[in-house]
Amino acid sequence: MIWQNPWSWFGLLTLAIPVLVHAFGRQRAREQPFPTLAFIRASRLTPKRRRRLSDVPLLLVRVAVLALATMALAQPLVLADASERASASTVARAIVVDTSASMQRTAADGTRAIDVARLRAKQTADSSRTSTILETTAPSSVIAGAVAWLETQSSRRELVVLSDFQVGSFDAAAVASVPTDIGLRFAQFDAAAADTARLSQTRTGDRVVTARTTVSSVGTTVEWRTRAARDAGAIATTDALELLVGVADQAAAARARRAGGAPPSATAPGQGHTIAVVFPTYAQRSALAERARPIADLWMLRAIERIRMDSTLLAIASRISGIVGPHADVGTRAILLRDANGRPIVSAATDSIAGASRLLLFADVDVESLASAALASATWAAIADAPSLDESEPDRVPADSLQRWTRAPSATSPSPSARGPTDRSDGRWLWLVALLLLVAEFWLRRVTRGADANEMVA
Amino acid sequence: MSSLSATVVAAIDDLELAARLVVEGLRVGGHRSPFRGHSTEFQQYRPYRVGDDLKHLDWKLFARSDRLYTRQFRESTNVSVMLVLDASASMAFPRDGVSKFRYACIIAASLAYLISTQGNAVGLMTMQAGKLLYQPARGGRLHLLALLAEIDRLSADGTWEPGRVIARGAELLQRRGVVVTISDFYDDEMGTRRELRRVAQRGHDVAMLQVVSPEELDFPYSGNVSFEDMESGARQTVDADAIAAEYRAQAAAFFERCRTAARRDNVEYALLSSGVPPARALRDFLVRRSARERPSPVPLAGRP
Repeated sequence: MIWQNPWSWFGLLTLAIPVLVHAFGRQRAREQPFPTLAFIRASRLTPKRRRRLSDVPLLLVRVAVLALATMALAQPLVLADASERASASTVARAIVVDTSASMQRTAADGTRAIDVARLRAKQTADSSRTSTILETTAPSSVIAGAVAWLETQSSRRELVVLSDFQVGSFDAAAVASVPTDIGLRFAQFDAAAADTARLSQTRTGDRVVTARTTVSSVGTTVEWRTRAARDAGAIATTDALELLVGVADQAAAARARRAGGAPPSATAPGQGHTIAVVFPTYAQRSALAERARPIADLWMLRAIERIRMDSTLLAIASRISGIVGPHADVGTRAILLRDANGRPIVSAATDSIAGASRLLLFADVDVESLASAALASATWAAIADAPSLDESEPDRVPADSLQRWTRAPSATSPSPSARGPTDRSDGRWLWLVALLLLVAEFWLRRVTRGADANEMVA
Repeated sequence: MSSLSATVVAAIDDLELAARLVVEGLRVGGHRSPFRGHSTEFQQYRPYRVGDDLKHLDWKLFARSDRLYTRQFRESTNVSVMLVLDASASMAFPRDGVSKFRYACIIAASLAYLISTQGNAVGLMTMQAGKLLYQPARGGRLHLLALLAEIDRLSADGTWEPGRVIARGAELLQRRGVVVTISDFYDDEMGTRRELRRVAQRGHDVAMLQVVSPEELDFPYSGNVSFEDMESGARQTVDADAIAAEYRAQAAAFFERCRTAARRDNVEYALLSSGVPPARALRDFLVRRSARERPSPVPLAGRP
């Protein structure tokens, strides 16, 4: 049960009125004919106040009437299954169907996700009061239009997105752009097998490199596993690139430890080394900076040299100016890159995790900037003969994020004037009970008066 | 035979039937009238019983038969009884249930029935709408029915002047008789008392039947009550709980005053609560009356 008008609960304050009346009200003098007033002295002309609550049953009934009226004004909505279905049909929906290439792939059983999504969209539209279906290759881009259409609807509103939710197709920013009174619902379609989406393999010389990309709320981690091609069963080493962007969580820390677990015996990049790019937004950046030591390992120097030689990165760096902030102090770190003003924007240091050394690249550029992309790319190139980015399958928005973003359409109508006839409330039953109690109150009052009269006769 | 309750009797519309029921419920007076006349006439002998007046013993018969017989006399002359009935508005209390007036009417009708069937004359004096209403004291069944019809027509409203009604009722008795006043005696206490005393002093046998309702005795009210005088319409709003004790004391004092004054004035007094079955109230009254020592109706002794 939900209360659509919670402010009405202040109406409960009116319960004090009957209580006060019963506690302090003066009793109405009863008319009583009497043979003679000779023995009735006018000693007490003013009737005294009662000290206890008078007529408790009547008081209870009156309080109940007010309480029920207050509850009714709060517009309760009992959401039983049946009524919920009924209420679902009163919702206006904008349905966004993702028609991007990934949705159009044919699965092993011959079905296409896009077909399933379209069918679902039609069903959803049929169960809505009004609806519009928007087909797009980029769901995020039509959100504004969908919201604008929903704003014109007077009933409860909901935005439904049917997609495989590849990363980039829909994100928190898109969710934030939807007003909170509009409900959000997501249907995720499996466009392809998840495992192949995460991994990609490349053969380089006598080695097979498998790239595994993990997207979390903190950052993106790409792990490469390098195996000798001839000895396919044995894992040789694991390299990892961590792009440390946001708030660290346990899983990320565990991944970092795992990534750094390989023995650092080899001296060449691509043989069990970890490079972490630390962006200014990373929460533990200052802790990492304090812990960092000057670079000593040869492979790190080589990696730095390679990054420095990256022409794209250099070209971008010479045109931008880095973030000037508390992170700009490089301390003892080796400076990799300077911006157009000569300020350092990438500096290097090292720390060790679980006994293994890790190269830390402190970037003083915006995460979303071109420079950071170039930096990641250059680092990637430096660490291994990795497959190019466009070959790897993009990850999908995690299901728990979708779950978190999902919300029911707000029960309250946008404005009282826009409240349509479909606006529902179970308050009418409360009104009915209140009315019955009002009748009971009337009856009780009469009975009480009658009892007074009987008392006189008895 | 149990006495019919006041409610049952009052519910009987036919006043004659009600009166007969009440009277037949009495255990006394079957053979001896409590209203005895002055002149007596020998009627019969009866075996002597302890307590009989020795002067009524027939000594000659004793000498002849060696048995003790008491001579009994029949009241050869009738006694006249004037019923004075209060029909003022205060008698209409309580409005629901058996009102004092209805109760008084039943008592009056029962007395009339009893008196008439015992061969005495009975009359009625009351005041209705400010005018005196009079039925002369006569005997006979037709007169009784007329009287009962008259009582039945009465209604309790307005006021009455007790002194005037009592005095006029006694005046209209041609000779010494019995004046039975049935009222709540709330009006003109001193005047009523004075008039009753005067009537008694003139040789009439005066009885004062004070009818009250249980509510007037117990005062069962609580909370704020606006009391309205049923005769004057005056109002008094009081907290009934607060004055209840004082009321009861005042009322009790009033009834006691009536009783002592009646005794002093040689007036027979009875307080009749309308909650008590009329038959029982009447029997109690008549038993007391029979047992009462009365100076006048001494049977003449020694007649052959």
